[in-house]
Amino acid sequence: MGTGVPTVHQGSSRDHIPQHMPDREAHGDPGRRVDMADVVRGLLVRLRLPWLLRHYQRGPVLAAFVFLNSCISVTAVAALAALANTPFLFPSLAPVAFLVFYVPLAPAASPRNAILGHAIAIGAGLVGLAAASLFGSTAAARPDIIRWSQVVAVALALGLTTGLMVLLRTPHMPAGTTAILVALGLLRTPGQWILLLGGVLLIVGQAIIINRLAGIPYPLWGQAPRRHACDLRDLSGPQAAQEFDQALRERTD
Amino acid sequence: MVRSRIHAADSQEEARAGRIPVTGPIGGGMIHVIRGLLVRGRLTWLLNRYDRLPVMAAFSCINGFISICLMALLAVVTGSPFIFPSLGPTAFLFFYTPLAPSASPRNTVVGHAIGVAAGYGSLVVTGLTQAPPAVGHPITLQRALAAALSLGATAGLMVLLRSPHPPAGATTLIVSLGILAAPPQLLILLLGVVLLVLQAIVINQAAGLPYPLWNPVARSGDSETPSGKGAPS
Repeated sequence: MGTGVPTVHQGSSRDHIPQHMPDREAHGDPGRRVDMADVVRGLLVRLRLPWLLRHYQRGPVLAAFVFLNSCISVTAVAALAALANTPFLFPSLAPVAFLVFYVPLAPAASPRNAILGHAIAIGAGLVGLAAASLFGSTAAARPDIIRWSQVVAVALALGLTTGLMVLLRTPHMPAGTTAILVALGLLRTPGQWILLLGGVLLIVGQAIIINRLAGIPYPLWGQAPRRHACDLRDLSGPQAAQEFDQALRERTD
Repeated sequence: MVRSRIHAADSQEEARAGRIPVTGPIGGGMIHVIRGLLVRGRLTWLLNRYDRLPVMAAFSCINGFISICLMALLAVVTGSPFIFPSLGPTAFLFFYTPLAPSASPRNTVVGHAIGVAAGYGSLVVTGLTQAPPAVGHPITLQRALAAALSLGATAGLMVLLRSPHPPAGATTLIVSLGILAAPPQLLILLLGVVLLVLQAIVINQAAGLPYPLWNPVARSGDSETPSGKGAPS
């Protein structure tokens, strides 16, 4: 928390910022939810570009940020796939990339939940395949034509994934995509499963670097401290908009 | 003060206070869906007798199974791709945090629509609309460009239109990777999303939750802390 590095602050109050984390902890401040706006603000302050926030509407700045960030994520994963010589991009990586920057401190966005969630999903997808006695089938997967046996496979895979994630306290919603991908037979080989987990690791690594650059205590493994915890709340509520604009004024004045 | 209570309190305490929290520990909003359904089915003893966690896990397992099973059956009967990977996270969101803005019908439908549009748009830009799916085939530079463009555009537009719905990212990659890319399939895909939203409305409303028909519900703190006046100083 050096000079100029923003800390997470309470956006909706009159108290002045920047305040440093330890003080806030000492005062028992429960903190507020942390979202993408804080990531962008932190990065811009670190880059000494806070004037960007003064001059432009928050919407376009945030949109430009996620656009760039998503492009970086996909490029990193594509590069990994090319290096591994089994070129493959997975649809399930996209929601992860969105989640870790959108609500970085939500339990669902922690590295632990991301990695365990996808591992659970791969396992559940295999159980689904096995139950439908499709396992090892060499028939080419056609995602646009669903067979009767696949009904059992996908339903079982998703049911098991969500049930296990709740039971093991590792909710991570993008894992649902992986479960259906595996159950539909679109991911068949252990190499592809490892590559998928590698892709998740890459995106988590990107999240650690960028979020921490922005001064946000994105966890290295487990969930963020409870006082920052938040579920999937977002920028669409009226309060969120007000909070942001208020914080913006305080930050840039 | 209000918000600190929301953050600190266990969702069960909140429920006792007569309020349904949007946030919560592990349960998110799911415990309220379960409680509502059990009350309706006169099965509350299930919650009294058993630990919350296994009941919740069993519920989400059964719920996930049923919702995806219905979609898959429809896919088999109609011979159309009504089941696709991005339905998984959307279904999870609907029953795990039903009152979060991300899980509202508006964010879901608009999010997936943005995903489809951005995915198809990126295929047009890179000239890949007729290319075979990238699944199992080497990925060309063009395909990687299409994927990056589509995900970037989807994320940016969702933020710009204030209807973030993370699973839409999976939808856009499904399209831009060519897994489902023909325009009729894209319509089916959106129809599938709408059908899943209908299931969420039926189940969550049956559980007595104020699950919205379109716009996200206001957060419980919203009405009580207008423009931040209630925050501690």
